[in-house]
Parts: sequence; C-alpha cells; structure tokens
Amino acid sequence: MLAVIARRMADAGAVLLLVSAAVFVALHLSGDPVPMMLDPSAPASEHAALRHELGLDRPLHRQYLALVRGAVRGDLGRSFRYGEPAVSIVLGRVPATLQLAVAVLLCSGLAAIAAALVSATQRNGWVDHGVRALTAVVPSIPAFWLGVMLIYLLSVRWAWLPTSGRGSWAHLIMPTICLGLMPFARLTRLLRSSLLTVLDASFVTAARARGLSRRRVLLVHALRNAAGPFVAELSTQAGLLLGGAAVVETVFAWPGIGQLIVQSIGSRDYPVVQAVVLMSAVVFVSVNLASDLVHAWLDPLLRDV
Amino acid sequence: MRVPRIVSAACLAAAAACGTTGNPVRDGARRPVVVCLYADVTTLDIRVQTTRNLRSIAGNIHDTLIGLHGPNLTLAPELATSWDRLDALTWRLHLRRGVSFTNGEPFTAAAVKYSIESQAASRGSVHTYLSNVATVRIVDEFTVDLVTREPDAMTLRNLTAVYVYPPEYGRTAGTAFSSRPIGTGPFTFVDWKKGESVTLQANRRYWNTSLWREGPPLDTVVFRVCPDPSTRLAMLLSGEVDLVDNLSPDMLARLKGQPHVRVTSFPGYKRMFLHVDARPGSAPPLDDVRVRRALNYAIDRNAIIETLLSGQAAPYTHFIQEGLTDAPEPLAAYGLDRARAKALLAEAGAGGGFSVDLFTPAGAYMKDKEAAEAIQAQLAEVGVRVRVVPLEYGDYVNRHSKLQLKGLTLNRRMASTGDPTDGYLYMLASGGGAPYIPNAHFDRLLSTANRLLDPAARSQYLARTVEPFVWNDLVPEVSLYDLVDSFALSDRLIWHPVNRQEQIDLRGLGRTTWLGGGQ
Repeated sequence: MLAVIARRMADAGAVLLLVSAAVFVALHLSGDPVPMMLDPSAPASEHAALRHELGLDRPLHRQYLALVRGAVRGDLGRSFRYGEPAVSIVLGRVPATLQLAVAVLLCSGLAAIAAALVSATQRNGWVDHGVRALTAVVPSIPAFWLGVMLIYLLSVRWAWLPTSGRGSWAHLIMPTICLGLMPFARLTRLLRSSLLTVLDASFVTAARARGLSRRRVLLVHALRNAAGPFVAELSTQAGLLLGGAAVVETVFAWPGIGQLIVQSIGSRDYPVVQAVVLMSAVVFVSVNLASDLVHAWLDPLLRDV
Repeated sequence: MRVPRIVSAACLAAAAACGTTGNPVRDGARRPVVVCLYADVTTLDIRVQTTRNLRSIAGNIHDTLIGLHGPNLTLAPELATSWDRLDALTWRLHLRRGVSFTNGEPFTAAAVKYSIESQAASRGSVHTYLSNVATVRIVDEFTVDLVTREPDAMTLRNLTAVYVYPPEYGRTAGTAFSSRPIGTGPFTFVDWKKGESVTLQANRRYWNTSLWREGPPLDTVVFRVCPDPSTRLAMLLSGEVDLVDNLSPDMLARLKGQPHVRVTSFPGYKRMFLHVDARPGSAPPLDDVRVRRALNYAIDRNAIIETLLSGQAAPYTHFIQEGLTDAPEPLAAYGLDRARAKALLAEAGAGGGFSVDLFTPAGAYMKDKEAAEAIQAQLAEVGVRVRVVPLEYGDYVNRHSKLQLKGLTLNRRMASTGDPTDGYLYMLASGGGAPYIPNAHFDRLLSTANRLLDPAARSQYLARTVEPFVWNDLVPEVSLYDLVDSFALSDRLIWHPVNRQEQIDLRGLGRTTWLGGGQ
C-alpha cells in the first residue's frame, strides 16, 4: 500500500510541475505587463526600472526556478496590481466562490435527485417526457444570456430580487440558477438512466417480493445503488465550480475567483494568474489523489501500481 | 407515485418566501447613495498605482493644493490659497490655515513636504507629475517653496494631480495606507470590501464650508463594482444604483423615457484619433505628409458620429482640446473631400492606392472596432486598402508603447492635467510615450513653450506658433472626434459637475427632496 501512495504522490507532483511550467510559458507569451501599469507617456527608462523591480528582466529559467522554489514554500509572489501576496488575494476570493459552488451543488443535486426519481418511476409518463425535454434544452441556454434576462425580469421589471453583488441569500438566487442549470441537466440524465437500470435488477423485485414498501425500495435500495455515476459527476462539477465561473461572476458582479482570473489575465498580473491556476491544480490533484487512495484501499484489485 | 409531500412543502415555502421579500431594493428611504464603478480598484493609494477609478474614490478623500475648476480647467485655490513665482525655478505657496486631517493631524507645510516627496518617489504614475521638482522647502508653518530643476510652466498644473497626505499617519502606516487612507477631503474612508465596494462617509468637519452651506447633502456614499454594462444599466433601472458613468450610446437609447433616471452629457476630453506611424521607412507611404493629409480628407466623421455613436461625439479642428488654450488660431478643418484626398495621394505617388494595417482594441474604447471597420470602408473609396487588426487590450497597450504597430492605430488621448501639452508629450515629443513621428523642429518649439512661464504668453505661443505647425505642417494624426461624457443619475440626485474631468467628484452631488424622510 505504501508503494501505491508513493507512486501516486510522485504522479501528482509531476502533474503540478507540468501545470506550473505550462502556465508560466503561456503567461510570458501573452505579453508584457509593464506598459499596462505605467502612464502612456512614461519614458522607456521607467519601463526598464519597473521591469527590474518586478524581477521580469531576469532570464526566464531563473524566473521559473524562483516560482517553483516559492511555490514549495507557499509563496507565489506579490500581485503586480494589488501589491499584496498573490496567495492571500486568491484566498480572499475563495469564500465567495465556495458559497456559490455549494449553493449550486446543493440545489442542482437535490433538484436532479427529485427530477430523476419522478422521471424514472413514471417512465414515459408526461413528467418523464418533460424532464427529458428540459435536460436536453437546458445545456444550450447560454449562461450569459440567461443571467441578463433574469436580471431584467426579476430585478428591473418585477423588483423581486437584487440585481447583482453578494449579500443576503436573495443575492444568491439568480447566479445559482444560471450556474446550476447545466449540472442539473447532466446529473438528472445520469441518475435517471442508472436508476432505470437498477430498477430492472432482480434484487429490486426480490425486495418488493419480501414486502418492502415502494418508497423504501426506491429511496433506500435503488438510489444507493444508482448513485455511483451521479456522485462521480457531482465531484467533477464541484471541481469546475471551484475554479470559478467567470461569465456568471461578471454578469452578477460576484466577487469570486472567476472574475479575479479574468481581470488578472487582462492586466497580465502574472503572480495572481499563476496562483489561481496552481492552487486550483493543487485542489484538483489532491481530491483525485485522495479518491484514488480510498478506492485502492477499498479494492485491493486497484492496487496494481 | 405521487409527488412526495416534502417536495410540495418546499415549493410552498419558497413561494411564501418570495412573497414576503417585498422589494429588497427600494426599501429604505435613508439608504446610502450608490455609485457604480466598472472595475474594482486594487489599492486606495495612488502612490501604488494610479487609475481613473481610483481617482474617483481617492479624489473625494484627499484634497490637492490647487484645483481645476470650470469648463476650461482653470487653476483655483484649494489647500493652497495663493502662490507667487519667486524666480524661474521657485514657486512659493501660501497654505490654508485651520484645516485638519480627519485623524486630527493639522495641515501644515510639513504635510505638503511629506506628500510631495512621497508621491515623487512613488511607483504610481502620479510621480510623473513631480519629476521636475528638485526640493520642497518649508519656509514657515504655512508657507512652502517648491524648487524645480528646470524652468517649467507645468509645475502648478501638475500639482492639481497631487494629493495631500497626513505625514505622521503616512509614515507610521506604511503599506496599510493602501487599505485605509486618510485625508482632508469632503469624504472619509469607511470600508473596502475587495472586489465588491468601497464606502465613504461625509466629512462633517470639511474645511470648505462655502461648498456645503447647510452641511453635507450626502451622508454615506458606496462605490459598487459592477463590470458588466447591462447589469449596470439594470441596477440603475431597478433603483439599486444612483450614478452610472461611462455610458455607451446604446445604453443612452435604453434610458430615454425612463421615469426615474436622468442623463447628463457634456463634452469631455476623450479624443479619438488615428495614430499614424510616420517614422521614415517604417510604414510607407505614411511617412509622406501628403498621404497623411489625404487620409484626413478621406474620412467622413459625421457619418460615424451619427450612425455609430448616436451623435455623442463632435469633430475637432485643433490638435489641442478646445478650451485649453486662450486664443485658438482658426485652422482649416479636415472635412470630407474625396477628390482632394485622391489628388494628394496622386501627388505623393500613391495614386494607385496602397495597403495599410489599422490596429484597434476591441471594446476598450467606445465603439472602437466598429469605427475601425467604418474607416476601412471609407478609405477604400479613395483606393486605400485597410486591413483591420483587432487586438486584445493588453496586447494593444504593449505593442503600441513599444512602437511595434506599423500603420494606423485607433487611439484615444485625454487631457489629464488640463495642460495643452499633455497630448504633445504623449504623441510627439521625442522622449514621450509613443513618438511615432519624431520631429526635431517640434521638439524645439515645445521646449520654447515650456520655458515661457507666463501663462498668457505660453498659451499664445502654443496657439499661434505650435498649433498651426502641428495641425497644418506636421499632420501627425488622422483626426476623428471628441467623445461626449455621459452619466446617468437616478432622480434622487442632482449634479453640478465641478469640472469636466471624467473622474467622479462627489462635491458636485446633492440630493433632491424627492426622498421622503428628509436627508
């Protein structure tokens, strides 16, 4: 088992190194941050001075090594724009992103369970057709358009909800709807089809034959067995949501990581972009690692190193 | 199977909650005045980084020694009540008495010295306004001498961009100043939620008692960050926000006829033009002045203004923005004249037409890409084949400043200190920001102008000698139009702008009496 752990951690480390190299190269190819930070009429000597102050005139490989060394210590440099440590800027945005991610996962997850349950048990009924049509149409609705329409209807026209920003639970409603539609659609379809498979299985008939109520069979036995793909998709969606949803955050002025990374890329704030990418990579890789290790522990067959 | 009871219960609860929410937005007659910002600030200290959004906030917390007032941006006393020129290199400033910072520190010559020195040594672009200042001498508690390295007519103008900071707090706070600024201004800093909002409160001990005779009309002002233009509009229409700037013509159309919204427009200093790469051999035949003149005659500015900008712009006939010099010499306008354009091209040997790139940011300036495409079509009519190259804004700034854009570049300039030579310094001076048209004669004219310390003489020299040379002989740009600045206000507010600069100066805001409950 130890060998498995060691091997998996080495793989994780290699992935992180690759990610750091990729983002470093991409950033440096994307352009020079210095002209954007100075007044347009600043002379060339000032550009050179600022470049030196930010350490951008060092050879590229030295800059990369400094990044890796700092990353190991948890120091990803200081933001060019804010002047503060990049890590703390990113961490400052995490609560907002986390709040939205949790709301989306909860709402879309619960809604998906409800829709899939009804749909699977009333197969080919009108509810089933409705749910299937909905999950087919929903992924084609662009979140940006939906966001603007919702704001217009629910905030401007009918004044039910605040337009944007973060504050009370009311602020959370529209962004959650916009971000939650796609996960809802995918989760519903997955759960529905695995429920249908499970409901046809012989153990379900056997359970009913033993006298268990329909509700118990459905919710306790069938659902649990059908949960596999649903949970897998849920964790994928969690990973995506934690990366920040730039479009929805921009439309709703939600101060999350998505907005931060878009602005940082636009202003070539290297340290912050690197921090967001690396920190997200660490989260992804750690979650994967943990999940791999748990599976390997549970199932000795997976311990093939 | 019936819909589970828990689901129906949840639906009822949600419906009930919606009903009892009421209007979370319009409730509260005493809610603060909210101003929309299109992007967050990254610091509250212009010494770290100076941006327009930051000036909209910080300019209400800090005062300057000298201010710019009125449509012509004339110098006016603020924390300095008067000034004399002692000699070619020295200005003496007399300071206002009885003013304190909001943390209790008194405003004295020591504060002026600290403020100027720390901004001159700072990384923010504010230091460019102080690059010519050699020393600040304290003469007595309320008198300060400013000594420059060279005689410079812009010294006082430059002070209008320089804030006054409390020396004790400034020194002890260090970088904490970026998140908690203190000044003498009409508003004090309360709170900054990064990425969300900045909150200010009226300074009831503000020294300028003639401004608010009955006390400050506004109590709390919140600057809210909202990057998306349609969301900003929705916030204004729903009453969540009271002031939105940076309105595009499409947004103006949507605001027409809205009951609780008023739109104010006035000509700003944002000047759109085509920057021409006239370096010899760099992008031929743009280095030939006849070709540059021809391009000026080939553009139908009015068509662009009417169709793309809904009339929210005006063509111009001087290089320097109107109102910044006293006596503009009437100069010949470059109107649409295709025949003349073709004749000039033929004279320059480009009668068969030529190809050129037109670089433009996409969405950074008002209708930039659309204007570029319109220009492409217009120039095609005189045989010039334009290839429009849209660039991402960071890339555009980068390459433009490195003089890598060989061709025409859609650009915008502003008058940051109200000095006529702002534009010259940016575009034409050899050591300036983007000298795509180096010219020794112009450099000589400009340094002569800068040595004229008498404002009237300088203004005349610029208007009578430099301007005609630039506009008629040098032709460094293809002139386009000046954009109109539009702001939308909810009808809770009235606004008398203090000057035409585009940062938001809250001193001009007042409340109407529409709000029940006073205030």
